[in-house]
Amino acid sequence: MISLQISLVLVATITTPSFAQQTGRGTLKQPQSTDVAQVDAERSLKSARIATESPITAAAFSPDGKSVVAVSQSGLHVYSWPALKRQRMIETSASNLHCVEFSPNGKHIAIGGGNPSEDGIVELLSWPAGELLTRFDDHSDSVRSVAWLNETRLLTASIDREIKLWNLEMSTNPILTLEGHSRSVHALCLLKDNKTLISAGIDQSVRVWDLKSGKLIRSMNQHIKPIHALAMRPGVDGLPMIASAAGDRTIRFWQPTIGRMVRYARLDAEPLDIAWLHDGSRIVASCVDGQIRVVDPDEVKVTQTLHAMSGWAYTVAVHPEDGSILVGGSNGHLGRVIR
Amino acid sequence: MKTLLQSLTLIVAVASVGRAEDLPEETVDFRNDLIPMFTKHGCNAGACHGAAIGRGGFKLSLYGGDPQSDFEAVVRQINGRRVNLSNPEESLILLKPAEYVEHGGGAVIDDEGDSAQLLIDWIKQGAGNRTRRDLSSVEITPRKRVAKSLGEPVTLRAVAHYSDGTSRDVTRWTIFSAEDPSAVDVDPESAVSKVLRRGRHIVVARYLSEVVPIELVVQLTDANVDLSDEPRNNFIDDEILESLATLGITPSPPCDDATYLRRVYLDLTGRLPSAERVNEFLEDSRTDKRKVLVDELLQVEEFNEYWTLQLAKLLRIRPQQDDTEGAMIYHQWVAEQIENDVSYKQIARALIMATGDTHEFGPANFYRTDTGQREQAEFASELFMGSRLRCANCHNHPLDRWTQDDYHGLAAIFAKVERGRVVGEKPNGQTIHPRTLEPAIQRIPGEQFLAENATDGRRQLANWLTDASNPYFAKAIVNRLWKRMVGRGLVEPVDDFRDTNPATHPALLDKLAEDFAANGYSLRHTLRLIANSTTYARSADAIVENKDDDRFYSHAARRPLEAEVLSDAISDVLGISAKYGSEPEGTRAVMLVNPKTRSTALDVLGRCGREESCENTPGAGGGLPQKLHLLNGALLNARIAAEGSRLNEMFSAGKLPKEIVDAFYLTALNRPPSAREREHWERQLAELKSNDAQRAFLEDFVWGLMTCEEFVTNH
Repeated sequence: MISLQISLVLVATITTPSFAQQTGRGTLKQPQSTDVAQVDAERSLKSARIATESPITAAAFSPDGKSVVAVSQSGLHVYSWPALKRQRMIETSASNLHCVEFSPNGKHIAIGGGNPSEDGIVELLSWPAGELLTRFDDHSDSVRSVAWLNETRLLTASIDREIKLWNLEMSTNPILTLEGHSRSVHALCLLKDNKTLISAGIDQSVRVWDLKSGKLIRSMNQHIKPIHALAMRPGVDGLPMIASAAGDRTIRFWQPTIGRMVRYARLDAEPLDIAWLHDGSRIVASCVDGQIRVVDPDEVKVTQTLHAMSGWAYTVAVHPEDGSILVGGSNGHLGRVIR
Repeated sequence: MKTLLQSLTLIVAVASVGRAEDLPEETVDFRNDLIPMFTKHGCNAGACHGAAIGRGGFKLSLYGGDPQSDFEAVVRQINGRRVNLSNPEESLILLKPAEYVEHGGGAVIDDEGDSAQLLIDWIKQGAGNRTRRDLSSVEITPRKRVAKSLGEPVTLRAVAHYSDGTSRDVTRWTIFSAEDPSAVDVDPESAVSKVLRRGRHIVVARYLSEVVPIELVVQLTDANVDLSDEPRNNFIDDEILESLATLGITPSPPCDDATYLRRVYLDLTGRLPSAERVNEFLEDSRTDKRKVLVDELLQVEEFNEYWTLQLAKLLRIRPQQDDTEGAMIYHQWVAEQIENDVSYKQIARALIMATGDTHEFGPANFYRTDTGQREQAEFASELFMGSRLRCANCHNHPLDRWTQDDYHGLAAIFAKVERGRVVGEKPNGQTIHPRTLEPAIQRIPGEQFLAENATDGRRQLANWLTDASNPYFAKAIVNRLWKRMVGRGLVEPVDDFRDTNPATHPALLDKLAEDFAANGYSLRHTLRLIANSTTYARSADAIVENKDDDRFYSHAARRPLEAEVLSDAISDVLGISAKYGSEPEGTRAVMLVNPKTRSTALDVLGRCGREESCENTPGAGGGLPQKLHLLNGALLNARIAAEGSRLNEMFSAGKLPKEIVDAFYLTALNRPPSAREREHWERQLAELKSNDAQRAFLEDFVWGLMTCEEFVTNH
């Protein structure tokens, strides 16, 4: 217990003020002494339990790595990188946003959200102009995840338990609906073959789908709590590997094409989102305790624990070039963590 | 630096658990304001989001037992979708219960009412998990009310007292629910209750995690009952008569000697007295003959056999995975404890701390009764504490004090037991706490956690459990003894002790437990005490003044005989023993070690396999199939006049029909026939001229005797 507190203080001293300075939103001062650290930590803890802004639910780097787009109940905002200064808000009609993804060529953004228990909305926007191109509202509850198949096809997953495939050029009706999850679908992940989709959600299953036939290939059920996120491991030869993060405090590594759970790492706190370093050597997880855990996927060990914020860290991304970590979460927090 | 770290540690520790803070009065407090509101509207009830798996993808802790997880469910989960900080009125946590959007539970709050405003204010304030004060206690008034008449309004009130010294009326947010809604009506808005049916009724008040029973009594009769002259043999009678007087119930008179003899024989030995013993007792003119009889029965071998069966049932002794040897050794050990009147405290300690080869050391089999540490924790709590911890596996017990920490902490103690054929220590054994997903910390239920590296958890548990101040141990067993002797526990069910299931006679339960502990935890002592009370010796015939009483002991209860006892009684009366598997001829059912021993008689009469508690198994002959089989099946019909049967032997010996009638009355009902009965049978027999007709008639007579309620019950 004592060692946990010590590490928290040190991290708070080193990293928390840098978020504040970079975002320009914070009230924290440059730490000159340990007294400052104590005051800042206390303030930070209090603010975690009194939200003044909606939580950042998802964030992504622009293709050139110079901007960050982040979504929340307050809409879609663009920030500079690495300063994380809020630059502009892109008007959207969709409310309660949960996800944002750039298209493969970087010219479009897909965002998903909706009115809880009423509808699920997906909007396609141009980047960087932010003009609305298309809007889909066929889901009956909020959209939690989007994944680009290519420039014209988009997959969406919703709390309504369905996954839909859209042809962005043809119609506002889905061209395929995948049914099988018994509860909300929270995460999507495409294999490189662009034919195999992995999905996961509250029903604790990781499902493998053939997009050509729309058939479920297999369901893998080792998780014992809802699954929050999926991420495809880059830079590996052989069978593709994905990672899943779940409420059972594990990150599990799978070879979905053969239906095998290879291994898993157990964390000290529940991971909410995961992102791979670009060489696939490590995976970073943002957790409910506001910390980032860096995991070695081969040794299944946590190699680093970094304090990022107070409250729940809902989203994490790794910068495409400098490898620093973007984290967003409770109380509108968005910050940069350097490993 | 060290000082700084320590102070920060304090800040983190205090803030992270949502402890009291200095906040403005208008701050909506998630823990003290919102959770009671959820409870009042039924949101966190077991039938709604408080179910183990939640409902509609939204799970709250049962009745708000875990406020932190509730806060996370409402505010944090699924990207915080249930609370809209940008537009509080659009929050799902409000839209659903007000049914602006489809809600499986319908509209449970008024969108313009207090509850909706509370939610909106809270979200506008930032949807925080802050609290101004911790709840110290809830004061419910009245706790008990004895009313003279039905329909008299009783206003219930709840006042919460907080850690900062403040109090407030929380009646509005308290749920008052009658255990029997047909007996008590409680208006949910005004909290005014009315008793609709005479008797003693319980209303449970719930505010946050506090549950408090309220006792509402309306006298069973309008009579002014003075029982000061009623005979009393010991404190049992004082307590029972006091409650009868309060309730206006007149007790039945004492039973006659024959009835007492049969009753106490069945209760202490599981057997019927012989015809000779009946005659001897009825002719005995000593004023203390009943007391002498009790002392005598407590020393006979039949007492040991019968009470070994009772303990074997309580301990659920049975062969595990065909391991008959372990069960035999265990049974034999129990028999030795009974025979030597070993204190129940010593028996419990031996069981809890047992180690060794289960084929050589009986009590070690205690750890082979169940398959795992969690099941062992459930069993041990029901056995030694009379408490059902099993609810606390998945959530804090909704009607009791037990938490998940208690349940899994107790399981963690038993996880350190190697439970193979040889029972021993397993220092690395652990059980996972489902909430933390970490190994549970060993814990004495309701008391304290043990040191992380404690290796003597079982010893600490045994010490706590068998300490004279333990609030559960002695009460649990004396309540069982009481039930065995009089037919109904002071707490019923006997394994469900909790504040919201109070004893009918709490002072008597306390005194019995104190007396039991003060007398060496001797089972014989308490059995003797009960058997010698005038309460035990009351007639089972209800009188007009107490006919509606089913729990205050104004008259004795008619109890169906246990399957084993009835099977043996049938064998004794008919003179032909039943066959039990491959056991030798003449084996009695009460002596069987394996409850699944092949036996048509026990199949018909009903048996308990001991995989679970036998305490709620109905007595023999209670169900319709059993009754029909008893009336029509081979259990009786094939044996009444079989070769070697008592009836056949009497025919062969040339006994007169009236001698046969008398003999069967004495053997089966343990009393001579009344003058009216004798006259009836003689008249019937006189009309039959041939021997064959008389013989056939007497076969029917025996059949009739053995299927009548007087035979198949202890009364």
